[in-house]
Amino acid sequence: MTFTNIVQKNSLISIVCIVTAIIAGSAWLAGGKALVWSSSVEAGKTLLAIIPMIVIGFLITWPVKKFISNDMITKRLGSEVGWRGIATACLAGAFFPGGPYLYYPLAGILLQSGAGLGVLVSFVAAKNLWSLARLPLEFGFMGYHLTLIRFSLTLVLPPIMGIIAEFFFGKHISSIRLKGRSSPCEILLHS
Amino acid sequence: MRNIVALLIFSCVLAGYGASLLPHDTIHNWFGPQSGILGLIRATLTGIIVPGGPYVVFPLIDVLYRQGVGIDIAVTLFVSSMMLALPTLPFELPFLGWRFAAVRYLIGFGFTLLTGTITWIFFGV
Repeated sequence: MTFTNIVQKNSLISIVCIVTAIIAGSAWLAGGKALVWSSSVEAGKTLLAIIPMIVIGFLITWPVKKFISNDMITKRLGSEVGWRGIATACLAGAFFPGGPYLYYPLAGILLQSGAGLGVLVSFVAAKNLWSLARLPLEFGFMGYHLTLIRFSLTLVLPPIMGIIAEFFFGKHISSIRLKGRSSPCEILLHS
Repeated sequence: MRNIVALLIFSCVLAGYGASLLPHDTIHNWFGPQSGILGLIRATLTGIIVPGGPYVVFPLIDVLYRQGVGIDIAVTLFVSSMMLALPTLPFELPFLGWRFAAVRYLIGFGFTLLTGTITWIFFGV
């Protein structure tokens, strides 16, 4: 296997290695060996603090992945409207694991299944602000103090954003849904 | 799994090296206590453009916070990067359309600044 093949097969790891080398090189130029050493020790300490948090994150998300399927969320939220739909969407967002490559396709399916605008805005907001899977990582990097302040301040945002989206733009949901007709979620729905 | 491990190690490298490599004076001028509403807007714009998701944003917030920026800036940067990050737009547009994205960005932008302002009122210097 050639070097190019190895790089192509591990593109993300290669990018990470290159950027890490650039960062370490910059530190070397800025402060020599001492700065590289002290920064590496700091990086190692952060890694040690993060590992238990990752284990906790895995323990939280594993049962969710096991017992809550995309179908279950689609059935629950597809036809839900009003405050109950927004509340369910917030909870679904908090528990649904995975990145934007997973939750946006799911939101697209919800849109085509009849979910309201407020429900969808709340789901995406809760996925990003209430995400239980992300919380241990946040605690690990940002510390308890900052994370708790951040969490308490943004706790009300997902439902409020959903309510406001529904109130001001909810009546346009049919045109938003029509625009999505030719989108990839239509392909997913009929596949 | 290998990719997640690589990203985690990379996040720790960012957190470890960031404090010594990010220009302290520039950060102080851009996000320091005297930066006011402009600091909140800069934090919002930074959150919008920074790529890499939580693996980059969390270490960045940690570094900035350790360098002395206010909680209001840290919270604004967090909300902005979670709610308004442009790098996630290519996932949102094909599945939900530009109209949905426009509504979400409009409301998200307003609430990001509002959250930052409320944080500044309660926790600002």
